[in-house]
Amino acid sequence: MRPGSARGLLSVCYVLAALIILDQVTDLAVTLYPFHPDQLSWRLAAYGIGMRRTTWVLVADALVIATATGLEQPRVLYALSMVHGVAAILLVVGLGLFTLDTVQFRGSVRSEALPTVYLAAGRIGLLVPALVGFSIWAMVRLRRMGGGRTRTKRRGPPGLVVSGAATGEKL
Amino acid sequence: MNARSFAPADLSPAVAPLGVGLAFLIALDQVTQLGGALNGYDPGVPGWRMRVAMEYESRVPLLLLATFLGLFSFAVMRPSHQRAVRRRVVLIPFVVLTALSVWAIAVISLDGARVQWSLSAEELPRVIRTRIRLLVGGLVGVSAVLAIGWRFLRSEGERTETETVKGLSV
Repeated sequence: MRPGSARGLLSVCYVLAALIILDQVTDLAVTLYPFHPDQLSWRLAAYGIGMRRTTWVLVADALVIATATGLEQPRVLYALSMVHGVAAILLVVGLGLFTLDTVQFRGSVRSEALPTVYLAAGRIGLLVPALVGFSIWAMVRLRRMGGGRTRTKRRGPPGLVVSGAATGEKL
Repeated sequence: MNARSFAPADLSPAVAPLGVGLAFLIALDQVTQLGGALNGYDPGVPGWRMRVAMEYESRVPLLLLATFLGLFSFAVMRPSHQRAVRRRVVLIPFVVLTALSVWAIAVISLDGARVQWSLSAEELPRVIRTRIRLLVGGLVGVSAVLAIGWRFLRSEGERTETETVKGLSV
């Protein structure tokens, strides 16, 4: 296969990832309609249902990272690092609001239903910190990979950098 | 990373740990969702076992995807790792997935047959249809797990042989 056609084929993965995200977002919107963000129970349900779609978002994430790596696109990797940073902030804020809502909701639930509430909250309490940790880690790593090249290019005459990097000699 | 080039070959080991992390998160999400299905824990009740088996079967493709992503990333990350460790890492998830899939098929066959006798004639076709679908799904799942696991083990064996030959020639 010619390198050009392989690149074209690989870039289809971006479309696949976009379709996965679009499918999940529209499905979530239809499930949560009519929107009542002022209601406690609706907010809790929205958070719980949204978190059930984590796997597909991660699959799309893996596809985009792999494609950007394969297509040698440092700018995309840099943009992805920003996306992961924003995701980490949103997840932390969301977890804080979810914790407050759960504490408030606990008082209005019958005792028989409490184990189910605790189980759902425990799942989110386990998953979200792991996702935040991963997002921060990915942000740092992707930023280093995406931004590192731009910095090195601007630094000075390439011959000087290459000679040290390629031969492994200490300058 | 080399300052002169931005080749995927240079980048792959740098990206591979992210692949392992993503695979772990996908598996964690699926396992915790499965944990939610265990609510009302009562393994003595056929209905509970059937529910868990059905929940598990619906998650096999994604668990398999996570396993594949994790192992592929691990292989890229540690190309010169010791043979025993690498084989163990490949074996564990596939053995667990195979054992769980066989258990799910057994539960759906045996418990499903037991539940069948207590159903009315109107309910029977729907339950039989569901059981056939689950059994076919389970068998396809087991075959996929075994096929991918076997392929991975073989590729690990071939890689180790190549490394040994290279080492001897040096």
